[in-house]
Amino acid sequence: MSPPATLCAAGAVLVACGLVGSLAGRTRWALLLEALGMAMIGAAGAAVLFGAAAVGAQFGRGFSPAFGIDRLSGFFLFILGVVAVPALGWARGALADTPGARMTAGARMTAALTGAFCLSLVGLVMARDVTTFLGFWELMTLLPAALILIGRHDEPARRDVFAYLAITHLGGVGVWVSMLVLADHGALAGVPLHGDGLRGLVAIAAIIGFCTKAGAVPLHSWLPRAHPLAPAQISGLMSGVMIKVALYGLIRVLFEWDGPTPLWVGLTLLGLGVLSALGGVLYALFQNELKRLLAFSSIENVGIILLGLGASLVFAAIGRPQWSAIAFAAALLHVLNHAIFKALLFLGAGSFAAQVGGLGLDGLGGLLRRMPWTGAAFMVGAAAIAGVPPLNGFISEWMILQSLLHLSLFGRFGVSLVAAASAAALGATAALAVFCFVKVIGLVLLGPPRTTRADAAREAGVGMRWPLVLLASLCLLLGIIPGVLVPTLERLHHHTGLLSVHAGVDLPGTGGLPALPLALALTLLTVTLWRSSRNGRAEPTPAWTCGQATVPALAWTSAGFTKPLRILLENVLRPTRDLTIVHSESGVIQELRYEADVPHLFDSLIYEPVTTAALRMAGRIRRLQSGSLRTYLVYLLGLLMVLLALVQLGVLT
Amino acid sequence: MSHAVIWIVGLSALGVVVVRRRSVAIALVGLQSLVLGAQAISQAAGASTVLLVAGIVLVAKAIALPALLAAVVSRTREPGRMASERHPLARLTVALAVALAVVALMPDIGLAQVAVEHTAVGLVALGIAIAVVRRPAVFQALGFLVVENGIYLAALAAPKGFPVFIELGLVFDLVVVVSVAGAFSAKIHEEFGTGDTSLLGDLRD
Repeated sequence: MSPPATLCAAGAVLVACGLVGSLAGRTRWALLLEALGMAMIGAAGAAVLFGAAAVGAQFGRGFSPAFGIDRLSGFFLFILGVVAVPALGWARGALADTPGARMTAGARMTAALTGAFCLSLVGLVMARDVTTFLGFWELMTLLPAALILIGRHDEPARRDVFAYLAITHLGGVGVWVSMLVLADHGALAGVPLHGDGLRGLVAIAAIIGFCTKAGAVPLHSWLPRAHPLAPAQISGLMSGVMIKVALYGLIRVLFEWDGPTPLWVGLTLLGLGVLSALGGVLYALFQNELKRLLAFSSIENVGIILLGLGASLVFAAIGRPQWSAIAFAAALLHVLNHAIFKALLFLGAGSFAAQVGGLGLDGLGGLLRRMPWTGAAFMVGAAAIAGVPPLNGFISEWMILQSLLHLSLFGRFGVSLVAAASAAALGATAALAVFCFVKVIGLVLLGPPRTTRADAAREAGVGMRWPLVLLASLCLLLGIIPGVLVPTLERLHHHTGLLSVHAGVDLPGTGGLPALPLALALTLLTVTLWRSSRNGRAEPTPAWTCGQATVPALAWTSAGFTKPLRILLENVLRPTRDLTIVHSESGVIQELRYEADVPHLFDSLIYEPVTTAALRMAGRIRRLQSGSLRTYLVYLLGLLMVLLALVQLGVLT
Repeated sequence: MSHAVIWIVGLSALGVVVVRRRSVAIALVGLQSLVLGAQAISQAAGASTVLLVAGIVLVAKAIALPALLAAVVSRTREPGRMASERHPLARLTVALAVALAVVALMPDIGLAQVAVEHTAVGLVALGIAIAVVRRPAVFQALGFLVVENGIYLAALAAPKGFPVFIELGLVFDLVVVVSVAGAFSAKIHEEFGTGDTSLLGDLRD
C-alpha cells in the first residue's frame, strides 16, 4: 500500500472512530479524531495532487464498489481537508465554550453526523464506479437535511428542508441519467460516447443535475433556504465543500467522460455563470441576515467558477488548448479560494451568533473592537471574497477575467460577444461584491453596537479562534504566492505544463500578476496611511443630525445602505414597501413603521407557478385514487390489456 | 393433461362469478384446487420431492385455505343479498369478455398443449375479474386463489415444470394473503354488519 493510500485509509478509520465515539458520548474527543482523520485524508489528497502516484482503482465499467484517488480527486480531497479540519476544530471549540451543550443528545448526534457527512464527501470524490458515486451522492444530500433537523424542529425550518430535498432530488435526476448513460456505454472506463444526440443528452442532464446541487441560478432556490439553517460548521462544509463536490462531478462529465464537448456546452456554462454571479450578488446585497447573505454570496461564487469552466470549454472548442488549461486552473483556484473564505465567514458568523444570539445585520455592530481576533479574521475573509488584493479571491477572479478577455479576442464574432458580455458581468459582480461586503464589514464589525447583546459580546475562546486565524492566513498566503499552486492546477487539464512555478501568476499575453510585490506595496501603503492618520489625529465630534441627539437608531441600516441600488434596479428587483402610521397626535405623526423587502423573484416567477401547477396536476391525478381495491384491479386489467395489445401490434417487440 | 381437468377448472372459475352463496363459491375453488392438486400428484409419481411439494400444495389450497374461508363465512352471516351486486348474467358477460380478450391478446408462452395454455391464461384473467365484479370481501381472496390456480396450471403444463422452491413460495404467499384477507373480511363485517367492500369507498379522506 502506498503512503497516500495508507494515510487515507487511516484517516477514514479515525473519522469512523470519531463517529462512533460521538455516539458513545465522548463528543469533544470524537471531533478531535474526526479532525485528525480529515487532516490525514486531505494530506493524502495533496500528496497525489502534487505528484505522488495515483492510488487505488481507476474508473471502470463495473458496478461493484471501487475507490481511488487521481490528481483531480486529490485536489478536492485537499480542499475537503482544508475546510473540514477548521470546521471540526471550531465545533470542538464551540462545545468547550458552552459546557452544558457538550453532553446533549443533539450535540452528540450532530458530531456523529458531521463525521458521516465528511465521509460521504470523501466517498463521493474517491468513488471509481457508478454505484458508489450515486450512493454517496444521495448520502451527501440526505445527511445535511438530518443535521439541520437535529437543531431545528420548527415548521418554517421543516418546510425549507423539504424544499431543499425536493429541489436537489428533482435536479438529481440529471445526475442519475448522465452517470447511468455514461456507465452503460463504458464512458467511465474511457470508451468515447458516440452520437451527438447522446452526448448532448448527457451534457444537458449533467448540467441540470450537478448545477442544481452547486446552486447555480435558476436551479439555486434551495441553497439560501438550507445553508443558513445549519449549524455554522455544517454551513461552512456545505458552502465550502459540498457545492464544490457537485462541480467536481460536472468537471468529470464535461471535461473527461463526455469530452470534448461542442461549443454550445461552454456557452451554456457561461450563461449560467453570468446569471448566477450577478443574481447571487444582487440578492446577497439586499439580505438583512448574515448567513442568508453568505448563502447568496455562495451562488455568486459558483457563478464565477462556472464562468471559468465555461471559458475553458469554449477555448477547447475553438482550438485554444493553452488558454483552456489556464481558464480551467483559474476556475479550480477559485474553487479552493471560495472554500477557504466561505468556511471562514460561516465559522465567523457562528462565533458572532454564539455571542450576540442572532445574525440580523441591524442587530450587530462594533464586533471588531469586542472580538478582535474573530473580527479581524472575518474582515480578511470579507475582503478576500470581495476580491480585494492582495488576498486570494482577487487572484482567481483576475485569472478568470483574463480568460474571458482573451476569449473575446480569440473567438468568432458571436463567441467574442458572449465572452465580452461575460467579462463585463464579472466586472459588475466584483464591484457589487465589494459594495456588499463593505456593508457587512460596516454593519457587523465597525460602528457602535446596535443591541445590548452586541455591546456585551466577548471574544470567543481559543478553540473557536484558531480555525478562523488559520483560514485567514490561508487567504493571505494564497493571495501572495498563488503561482506555487496554479501550474499544478493547470496540469489537471489535458493540455499541460505551460506555466512555471513561481510566486506570482504569469499568463501569456497579459504581462502577469506580480502578487508578492503587489502585496508588499499594498502593505507598505496601508502602514504609511495608518501611521500618517495616527499623527494627525482628529478630535472626535458628534455628527450634525439636525439638532437631534446622535443615537444608535440613526446609524446606517442594512436597507438604508443599499437603498440607492434598490432604487436604481427597482424595475428588475420589484421591491415591496409598507409604510404604516403607528401613532399620531393632532395630525402630527409620532411613530411610524417602515418595512421594505426585496422578494426573491426566482421563487415567485419560476418556483411558485411550477409548484402550483404540479400540485394542481397531482390533485387531478388523485381522482384516480379511489381507495377501492376493485378499481385498482380494473386499472391493472386495463394496463395488462393495453400492453398485450401493444405486443400484438408489434410496438413492444 | 385430460380435457376433463381443463373443463372442471374452467367451469368452476365461471361458477365463482355466477353463484350467489359464498360457501358454494368456496367449495368451487376448493374443487378446482383439488383437481389441480390431484393432477400434480399424478404427474409427480416417482419423484419424491416433487410429490411432497405437490401434496403440501394440495393440502394448503384444497383443504386448509377453503376451510379457513368457510370459517370466516360461517362467522359473518350476510343479512340478505347485497344490493350493490350486479345481475349474475351481467357479471358472467363481463368476466367472460375480459378472459377471452386476454386469451386472444396473449402471445404464445410455449406450453405443450394450446388448450391448457388458453385455460391457464383465462384463469388468471378470470381471477382478477372475480375480484372486480364480486362485492363481498371473501371473493377478493377467492379471485386471488383462482389467479394462483391459473399459474399452477401453467406450471403443470410447462415442459420442465416450476422449481419446487417457487411453488412452495407461491403457496406461502397464498396462505399469508388469504389469511390476511379472511381477517379483514371478518373485521369489515364486524364494523359494517356486511362484507360489502363498496362501503369502504366512503372511508377515503
